Amino acid sequence: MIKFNNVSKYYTTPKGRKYVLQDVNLTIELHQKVGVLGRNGAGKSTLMRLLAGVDIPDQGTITRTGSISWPMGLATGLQGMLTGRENAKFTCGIQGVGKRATDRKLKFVQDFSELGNYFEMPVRTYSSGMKARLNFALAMAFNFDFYIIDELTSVGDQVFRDKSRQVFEKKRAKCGFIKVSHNLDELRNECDSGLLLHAGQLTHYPAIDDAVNAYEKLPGSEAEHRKGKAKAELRAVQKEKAARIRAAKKAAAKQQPVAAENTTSVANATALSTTQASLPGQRPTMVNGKPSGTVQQPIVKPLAISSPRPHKPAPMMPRVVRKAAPDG
Amino acid sequence: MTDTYMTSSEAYREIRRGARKQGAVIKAILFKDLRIRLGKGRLGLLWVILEPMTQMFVLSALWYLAGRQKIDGVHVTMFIATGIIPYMILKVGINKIHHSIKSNVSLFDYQQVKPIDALLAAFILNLVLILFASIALFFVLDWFFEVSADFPNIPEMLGILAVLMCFSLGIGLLISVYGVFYESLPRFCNIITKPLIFISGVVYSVNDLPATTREVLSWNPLLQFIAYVRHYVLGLDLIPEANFVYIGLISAVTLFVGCLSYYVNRLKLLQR
Repeated sequence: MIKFNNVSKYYTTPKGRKYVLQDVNLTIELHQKVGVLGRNGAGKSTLMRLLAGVDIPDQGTITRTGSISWPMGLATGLQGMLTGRENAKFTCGIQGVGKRATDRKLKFVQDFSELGNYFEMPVRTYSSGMKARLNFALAMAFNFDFYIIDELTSVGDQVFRDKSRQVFEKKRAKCGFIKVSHNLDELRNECDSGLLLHAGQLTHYPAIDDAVNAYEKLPGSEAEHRKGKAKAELRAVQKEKAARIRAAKKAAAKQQPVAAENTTSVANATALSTTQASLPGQRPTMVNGKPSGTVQQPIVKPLAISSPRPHKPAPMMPRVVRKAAPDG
Repeated sequence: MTDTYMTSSEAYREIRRGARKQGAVIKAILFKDLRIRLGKGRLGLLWVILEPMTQMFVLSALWYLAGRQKIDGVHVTMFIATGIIPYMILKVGINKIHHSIKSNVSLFDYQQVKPIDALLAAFILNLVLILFASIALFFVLDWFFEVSADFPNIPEMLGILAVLMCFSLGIGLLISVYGVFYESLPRFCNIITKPLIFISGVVYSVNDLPATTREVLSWNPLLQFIAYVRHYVLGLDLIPEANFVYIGLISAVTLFVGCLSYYVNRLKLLQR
């Protein structure tokens, strides 16, 4: 069990304190599977360090019972100068593992991490994915009540991710985990409850889906970002259309001297512009989920005219002319 | 937990368990550091053993050139050797252990590993290396120069070395802790160690100096430590200013202040 009692954690910056956590009360029961959500810089890693007991809150107390892993991050706990094997040996050493058990664990780490010959190479030569594998394999070699995973799973390839999920499936009954990930589907699939960290507030959602939904509604969150992007795209499309129509008008105006006697085309253009002007809001709209066909018709036509082929529109003319006739 | 009190036996067991845990951590870091040193090249480790020896030979060569073979009735090389070993023990604290906080920062992600473990591991490793260097030194002296120390008071000698180690550790803790906050501090202390070799009577006998100069210099704890070491190792007479209470007290205070500075800043050291 992990219990936060009025926990505050802040960093002092030149512009005052920046709170990562402010008066947080929280209880995480044993064997819970918790997903942690929050934007970059919200303080997720600090939260993980607090949970793992390697950082200390500025105010309040954190009570931890049961064994808790180190915060398994990308660059944590590994010494670049040592080989993978020596790192594993070191970890066994500080956990107080005996010699025979150490050999067994080393074998497990070597097999599980699938590093091959790189297991005997200094860790500083590893890629981030390989570091993540080693770190994950190291943690899996020990039985903890809680595993603290800080964006580690997002690095490995598909095979490794599947493998790590399988290991957790096996351990599921015996352990819980607290996991930071930006992969929302992964969190939805694997976690029971969720924690949302935003602006110093840590909210606990008993259902992970609620947490994900709340995260997506955050101002400036990914979903919001996606929405904004869609809006911008729509606006760009509209702009382009307007530009094309304008170009069509220009082209039509240029055509005038060429087909001077064809007065209908001028009338046609003016008629179109009037229809457009009279129906500005209704252009691409949907009425009750159905395209408002009557309005669409005249819009599509001018676009066809706008194509830089002045001779083509002839077959269309009668139809348009008919429409324009009452005006003329 | 305010409502639970431990009985003394429980507390004892708790302390023992904690000590065993910390011992395992220090051991792991120590062997890791040794492995890194070995990994950099065997020559580096050999140099650690050879460094005091070359220093000793260079300094004694100067005396030879000056035409002096004995200082205070002791062979020059032996005289310098007994000065260099205490000097090196103090140097461990001054500029050998403060790197270990920075170089082990990634290990503080393990709940069991604290900065003090890294410092202690570095301290112990360096002392062990000095022990080997000293053994090699005395061996060489005996083999090639046929000079040997008679070690009249071994327990007292070990006692004075232990006090010196406490002094060194105290200084080391202070420099390491405040070196994290003020980066120029270790560099400054590194500069100090160079003249220290000349004001501490490593290369000459303070008995050769005028009495007033000796009185001033003997406020330097290292000079007194070296005098005591020579007294217990070679059977030389102590200088009149030698005062065990003085160096004992100064060592205790330094160690206490060093531990206190660590304790006060222990959480700040964990932050990155």
